[in-house]
Amino acid sequence: MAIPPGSTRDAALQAELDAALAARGSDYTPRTHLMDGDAPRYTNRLIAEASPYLVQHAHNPVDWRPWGAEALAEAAARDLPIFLSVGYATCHWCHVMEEESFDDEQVAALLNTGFIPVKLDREQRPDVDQVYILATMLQHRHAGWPNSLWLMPDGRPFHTGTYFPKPQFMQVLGAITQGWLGAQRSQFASVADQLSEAMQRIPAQTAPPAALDQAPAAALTDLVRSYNPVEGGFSHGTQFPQEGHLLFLLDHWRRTGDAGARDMARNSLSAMVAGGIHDQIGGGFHRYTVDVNWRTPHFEKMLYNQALMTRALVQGWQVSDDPMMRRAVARCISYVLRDMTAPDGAFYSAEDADSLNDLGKLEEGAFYVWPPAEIADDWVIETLGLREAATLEAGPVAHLRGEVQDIARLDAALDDLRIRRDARPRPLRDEKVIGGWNGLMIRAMAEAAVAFDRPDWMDAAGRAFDAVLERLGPVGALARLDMDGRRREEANLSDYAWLGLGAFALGRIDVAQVIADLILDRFTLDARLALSTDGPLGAVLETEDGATPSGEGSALELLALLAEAAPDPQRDARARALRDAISGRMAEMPLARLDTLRAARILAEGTSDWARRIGPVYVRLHPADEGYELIFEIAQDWTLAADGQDDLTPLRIDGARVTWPEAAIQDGKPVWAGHLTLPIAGDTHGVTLSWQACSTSECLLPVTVEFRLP
Amino acid sequence: MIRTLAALLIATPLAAQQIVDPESVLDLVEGRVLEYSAQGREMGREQFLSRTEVFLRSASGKCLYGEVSVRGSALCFEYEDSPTLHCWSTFRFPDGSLKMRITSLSSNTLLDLSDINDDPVICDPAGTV
Repeated sequence: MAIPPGSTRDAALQAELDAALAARGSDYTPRTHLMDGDAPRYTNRLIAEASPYLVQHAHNPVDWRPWGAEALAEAAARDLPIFLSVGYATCHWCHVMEEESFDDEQVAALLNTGFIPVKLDREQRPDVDQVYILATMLQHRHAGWPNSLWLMPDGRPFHTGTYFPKPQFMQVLGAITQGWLGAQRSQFASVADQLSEAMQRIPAQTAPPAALDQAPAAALTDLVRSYNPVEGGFSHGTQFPQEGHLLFLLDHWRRTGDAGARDMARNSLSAMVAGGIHDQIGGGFHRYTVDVNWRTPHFEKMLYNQALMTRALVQGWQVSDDPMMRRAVARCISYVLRDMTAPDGAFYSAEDADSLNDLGKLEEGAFYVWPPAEIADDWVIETLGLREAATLEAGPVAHLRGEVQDIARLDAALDDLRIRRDARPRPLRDEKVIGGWNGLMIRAMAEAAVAFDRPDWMDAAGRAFDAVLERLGPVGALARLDMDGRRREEANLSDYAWLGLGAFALGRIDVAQVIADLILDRFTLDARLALSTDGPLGAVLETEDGATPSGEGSALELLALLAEAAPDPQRDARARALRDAISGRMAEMPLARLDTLRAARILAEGTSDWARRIGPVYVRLHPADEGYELIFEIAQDWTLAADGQDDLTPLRIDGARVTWPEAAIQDGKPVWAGHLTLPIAGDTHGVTLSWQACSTSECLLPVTVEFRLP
Repeated sequence: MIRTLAALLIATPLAAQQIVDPESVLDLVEGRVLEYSAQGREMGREQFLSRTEVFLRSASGKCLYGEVSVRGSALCFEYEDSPTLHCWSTFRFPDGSLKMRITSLSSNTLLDLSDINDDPVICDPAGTV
């Protein structure tokens, strides 16, 4: 194995890297065009990493280090600037820059000589990524990935950029090397001072606590203005699912009955279910479409999208009774369990967009497209819109044209197509197991299990939770990710919060409480919660909900749900303090924090979901053959007062006709205990429930809750 | 000045922010220079040469050309140094100030639109590097 150009190495490191390469096994394929016979010419420290994205760069002639204290210490010791490149496995332009520059020996020599080159997978350290993407945006007013930064040895950035073509990249490398050794170094330090000051100040911006009563209406106004009434979604160009928008709207409908909110969510979901963003053949959802009509996806499939779309579709089905949404949930979960689940039950992170085409070249969508000539049944070709002009070079993308009259026929055909597709070269699967992303999927699968009476899904969600704790735990010292037994990084706030919500959905309330307490113990920064406490410039605060809910908003949701299910005066006070601390920013711009606003409403008014845990009572609303049924699970040693107990509030349901069974008699008093199913009927748009729960030693205050019906 | 102009855009005061129609933003800035800042610190100046072309001077001093398009409630920019599309929505806040929120990133994306003027955009060909 050769030493990377311009680099030096001691024998011990070289032996370590040789051993790490050998440990990859005979199936391992180095990703580089720089081979000496069957062996890669170069191997760097990324060979020992757990992230497939980092390992992809392990044979670049650039002598990469992984992000961490060791790299910063080396930069300080050698008095060199750091070149930091941030990307992720399915980022197209990251791969272009790798091919053009990072796998080029001439570029590598410049990087290895004048810099400490560091590679970071943004999915591994989203907190570090957040800090540096802000730096690039502040300097250029636009940013993206690959994110390219030049840092002082202490991690403060002094120059930034995104994708550079090779000639420009070499020019910048040369200029910085020269500047560092010459008169410009103080200028670099000055820029680093200015940038890092702004980078610290912006996320920490506060606003005085504010009432949130106007915030939902303000958010709705902005959502209406962003909404695309023709195609659904909240864009007139590239379309992302925007699950946070959908979940907010559905929650808003359940709380207010606002039909406009419901319809924006329902129409968006229907358009996605029919579109090419939905993998019609294999189930699950791609990350986004490049066109406004949901037709042409960017094909990568992220675990978090499967989770959030599952949640949105379950809730969308509840308001619409649309069988296509129910079907999409089932197909999405089947996809996750079939293609994204490790043998121990944990969920993998993502599938790439590119795969080998018929010519043996990597091509986006090659795995997913279907030329009509490959399908014999004309009805299937028409139903999947495969005769329409292809919007992608690789070929036509399946999407549903109009209402499908014969779903059974279509599903049988799709099963056949999926089996045939499985024989094609698959896109790369990112097999790292990320704690937080698993938490999102566990929660979604458990909620879908409750909604559709699928105990097998609940079992799979529980098995995934156990596997994640086995890989990343114990719960008091969680790692963020694991791949093949390589654990990396400490879990951040979002990992804890999303796993806590997963535990809650599984009914493991004790575990959810432990996680909530750990969150408050570890991530508290004044009254707020930091995503991590060890970012490059100190604690990292989130400012928005994004493609996934913020860790802070999710933690608030967990605390709010626990305040209903297992009240604890101290923890509930912390929840209110957190809500107050972010309320000012939330009130200013609710559109940027819809998930957090939804969590704040749970804290103020209780959850609006069709399944609720309120103290010792777990109650859920469920469609029945005729009308609905309310299903109560009353904890052991607890009862609900029934009619005839004059001093207590008996279980009462207003707004619908209820078929009551005979109440039990305990100590001479009529009560409800254990499992109770109450069929409800009538032309109603909502029911109001009230009850009072008692144990042998105490009675709780009466509870009143409402369920809105479509 | 921007506060006065912004106030003309939407007469109804609201408790929270409100999206400003991108065509109205273009009405404001066409042929003029828009200044961006964060926490009072200048973060760039952008000359709107027309409703479809811009010339951006970033905080590093470098300048580049870009194309502008309206996509729904967002203005989208395609710069010569970047292969991807950068979209932002403009919001008016209750105090009359305008902010832009980059919609193509996941977080940390608010910048102030601090001024609209006719000062020339002066570039440093080498930037800070």
